[in-house]
Amino acid sequence: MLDRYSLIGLLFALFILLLDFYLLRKRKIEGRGFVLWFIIGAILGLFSGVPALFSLLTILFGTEELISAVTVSGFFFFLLAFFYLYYRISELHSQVTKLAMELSVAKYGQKQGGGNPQTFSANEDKRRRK
Amino acid sequence: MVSQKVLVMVPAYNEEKTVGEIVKTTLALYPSFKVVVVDDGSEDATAQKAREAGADVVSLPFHCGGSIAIQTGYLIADRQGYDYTVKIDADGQHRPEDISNLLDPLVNDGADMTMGSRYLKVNSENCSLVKESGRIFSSTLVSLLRRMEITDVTSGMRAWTRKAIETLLPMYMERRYIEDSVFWVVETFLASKNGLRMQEVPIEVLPRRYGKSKSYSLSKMLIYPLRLIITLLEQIKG
Repeated sequence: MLDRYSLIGLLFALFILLLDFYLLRKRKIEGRGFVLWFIIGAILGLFSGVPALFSLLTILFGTEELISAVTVSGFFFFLLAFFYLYYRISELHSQVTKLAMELSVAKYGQKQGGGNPQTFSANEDKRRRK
Repeated sequence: MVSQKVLVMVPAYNEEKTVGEIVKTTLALYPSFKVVVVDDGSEDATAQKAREAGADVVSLPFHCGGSIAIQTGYLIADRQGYDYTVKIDADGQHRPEDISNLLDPLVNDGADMTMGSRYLKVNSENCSLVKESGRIFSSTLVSLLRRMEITDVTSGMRAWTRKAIETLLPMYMERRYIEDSVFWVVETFLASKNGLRMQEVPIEVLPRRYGKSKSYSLSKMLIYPLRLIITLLEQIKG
């Protein structure tokens, strides 16, 4: 029978994994991020589902004391915050690199023609092609 | 050979030792072609050497990665209405002499996109075992999934017609950042899915003369199969 903490850990791992798959499906996270969070979720699930593994680790690191509820919730909160920040940074990275691309092409266009630099966006492109 | 507008794009990151020679050779062989070096935030004199050799230089404000440098080249080709676009590496591994082989099927056979393959040519450079395994794995996967025969899906020496650029570019702009290691696989997949006619052309790939390849490292190679499978699953879904 799973104890409270194991159940919370399992549910949390499941949540991380589902969110990871959802974001990948919606193309809101790239392959590298998916792999990282899949591994984190799977490890968390494994340790929660088989607490004996966790006990082994605590003995290994010499921290046999019971982990308090505050520590556990802090750990989950930290993991969730880390996930959110990872997602946001990867989203911003994508936007910044595309902006850099636009900027350099606009500068090049300006140097060449001296005219107004064009900007390109996916929406603008759709309109243009209609 | 080709009377239409041709753009040769050369994405470059810290390639000051080789970029000048690549540009000079290309311009000597094809004086009517426009050579644009996309400087991917180099910390050395890559941009200066390329300019001195006669190329136009588009400078990214910081190091964005190979896939963004290539997409910058597509953007220039699209904006400036080039009929054909060719991409060669700045590290001297691709021979400018092969550009005409890449353009030929586009001009004469109605292909939309050509990919250089070292495996269609004898006596080409032998890759390391790790690189070779990655190439075989990805080429086989794409060939099976798209029911076509590709020998070198990771090849970075390619050429496109205007139609191909117009088809691919909006998809890249709508998508999130595509990692460098899977960029060519994604592109081949997208091109095939969108009905672009692709053809492989034999090319010679020379050994790198200076420095190390920026695309390959042990850690990248270890995670590559998993990343490739996920990327392909993403493409199938989308």
